[in-house]
Amino acid sequence: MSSRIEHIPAFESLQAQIEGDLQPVRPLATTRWLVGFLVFFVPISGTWLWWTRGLRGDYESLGGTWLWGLSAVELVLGTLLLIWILREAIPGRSLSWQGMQGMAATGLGLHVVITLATFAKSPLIVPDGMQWMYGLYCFRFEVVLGSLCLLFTLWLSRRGLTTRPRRVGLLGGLGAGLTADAIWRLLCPYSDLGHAFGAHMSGILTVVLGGLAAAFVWEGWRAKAWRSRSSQP
Amino acid sequence: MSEPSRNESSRAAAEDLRSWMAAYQEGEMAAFERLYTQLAPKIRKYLISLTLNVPRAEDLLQETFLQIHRSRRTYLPPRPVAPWAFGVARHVYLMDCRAWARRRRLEVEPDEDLPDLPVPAVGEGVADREWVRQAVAVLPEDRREPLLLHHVWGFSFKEIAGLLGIREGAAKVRAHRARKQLQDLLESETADGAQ
Repeated sequence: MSSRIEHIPAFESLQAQIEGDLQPVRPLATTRWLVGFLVFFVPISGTWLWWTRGLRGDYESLGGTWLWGLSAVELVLGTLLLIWILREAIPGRSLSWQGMQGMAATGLGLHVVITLATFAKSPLIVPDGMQWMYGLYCFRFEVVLGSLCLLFTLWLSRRGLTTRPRRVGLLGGLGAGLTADAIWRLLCPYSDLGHAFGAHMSGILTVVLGGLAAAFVWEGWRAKAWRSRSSQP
Repeated sequence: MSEPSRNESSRAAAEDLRSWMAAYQEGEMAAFERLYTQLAPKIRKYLISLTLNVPRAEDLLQETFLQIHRSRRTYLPPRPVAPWAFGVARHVYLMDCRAWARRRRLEVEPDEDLPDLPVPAVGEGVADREWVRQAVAVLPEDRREPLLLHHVWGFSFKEIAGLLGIREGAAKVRAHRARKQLQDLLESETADGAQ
């Protein structure tokens, strides 16, 4: 052993702990895992929803660009947000808060633009008396789809070494919410702004809040584990 | 040593770290020992610069290497090893701060183990290393860290931005302000000495 090592205290105990647990590992491939998940998740959930509920009724008046094109743009942005936030799980590759704010504003702004563009092209209003029922229906599906994406992202992030889980929860929630909305807008024909913002956007924001709540729980567990492991007062 | 040969030797050192890290990920204990020999003294100084407390920094050094072991899969070859390892150390430091924030009152003890900083030209005549260390300890943490990471451990501002979770421009500004503040401190010391 080098003489320099001997000057560093407690190397022997460290060496013993590491030797007892030294297995070969593969470098973490979080982006590949996430893309792999989305490659299955998006077509499978989209096809299943299309099969069971049908494509939105106004797809002919909306046209391919407004239907598939805008969904594709929203899906790409949601996926980029998820891939981007996974950088937080790699030490030394943290994101700046300003950069995150910019990405969040871009994501929400793009969702608003897509909502307005869809309404301008095919303004379909929810029938009177059905606002709550249809609103809850869309809200529920957006939250379920978004939560699945979010949980996978948080799981990947937890496999790495994430210093700031709250940021992962916030931006991961937004990316997951946008991904879910990109799928769900293929099926929901109602583009009136009350429904779009009241059900769809609040679904996205609920996934964001869910991500934040999960991050708080994660931080709490981690701090507890740290205190129980650490010998300090 | 001339500038090109210094660059070459630091490139060779970074290449060694990469190959040892790859061997460590494959389960080679000797590679871990080599990594420890190279990185531990630097990370120890980094932790001292963060905590300003030698015993606490030594505890955190131990924890950092355990965390490096637990998280060794998060190193992605062929990226440089040092920013990753310093990132783990920073994570450990922040975790320790958060976990104990409510219980522990941080004791600030500027001490002799802070890393050496190249003395700004203006202070060369008056400032000995001891004084520069004291002056570095006085700098606010958010300025001290980019200054030391850049001028002592040679990280690029892009790497510092990734480590601290700030923009590259912000890292440059903070290091510049820290250097300026240090220079002002040395100048005032020079003036006091002359009087």
